[in-house]
Amino acid sequence: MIYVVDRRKGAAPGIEESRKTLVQQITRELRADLIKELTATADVKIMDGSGLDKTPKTE
Amino acid sequence: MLKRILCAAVISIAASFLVGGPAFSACKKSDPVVARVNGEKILQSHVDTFRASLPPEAKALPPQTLMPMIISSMVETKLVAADARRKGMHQTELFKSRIARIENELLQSDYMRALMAEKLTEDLMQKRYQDLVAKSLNSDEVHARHILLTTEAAANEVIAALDKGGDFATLAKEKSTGPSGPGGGDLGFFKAKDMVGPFSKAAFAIKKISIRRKL
Repeated sequence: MIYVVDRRKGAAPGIEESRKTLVQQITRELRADLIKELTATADVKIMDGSGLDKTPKTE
Repeated sequence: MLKRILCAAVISIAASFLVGGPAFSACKKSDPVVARVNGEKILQSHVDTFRASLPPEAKALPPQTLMPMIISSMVETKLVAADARRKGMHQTELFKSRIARIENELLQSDYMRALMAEKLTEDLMQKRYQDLVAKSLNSDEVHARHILLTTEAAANEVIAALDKGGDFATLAKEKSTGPSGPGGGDLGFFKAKDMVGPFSKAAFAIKKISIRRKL
């Protein structure tokens, strides 16, 4: 059972308070972009236990 | 306690020494030898690298206390590692594969650090912060109390008590099986993303103040 006591518009956190989260977020994004770029020019094959290619198709 | 922290740090830092981490590459003529173990040098730069990796509570110790502890830990590590080498433990396939994995992880870590140093400008940080501010100001927050019950019969009992004028917070303390029960079911203000989907959906669907719902 839920009892709603109050509602409000969200408050923005300060920049110093947010810095760690933002750095983590940007790091994740940069890493994802890098992996995408490197994967595009690499030959990556992921095998199942029997040696068959089970690389996820990206397109 | 501190000794345990130092021991844990020895284990993790030993890996970087084994693969020729920044401490070893930082050896210079001005880098004094702080200890020798069977002729093998431990340099001040090795100690500094070790110290930099310690948790804040250990770093806060006075240098005259901390440095001897670090040097002693490093000497012990070298002694044990040398004996492990004498026994050929560094030549097993398992050991080599672990070293290769650690090397790859260190390279990845250094790569990402260099990439961040290049890309993470203060302008980018300000832009991302402004995006966050805009998003935060546009998101609703709800302050709710919650009573978690395991059966519908128990829920009906609480509804009946509320209909008779019962106080939600008191009933939460008495009946809720959830962790917020002892605090009167108070969850404070939260955003939709802070709670599990069905709970958020129910809480944010309540348009008027003081309406109760079953999930």
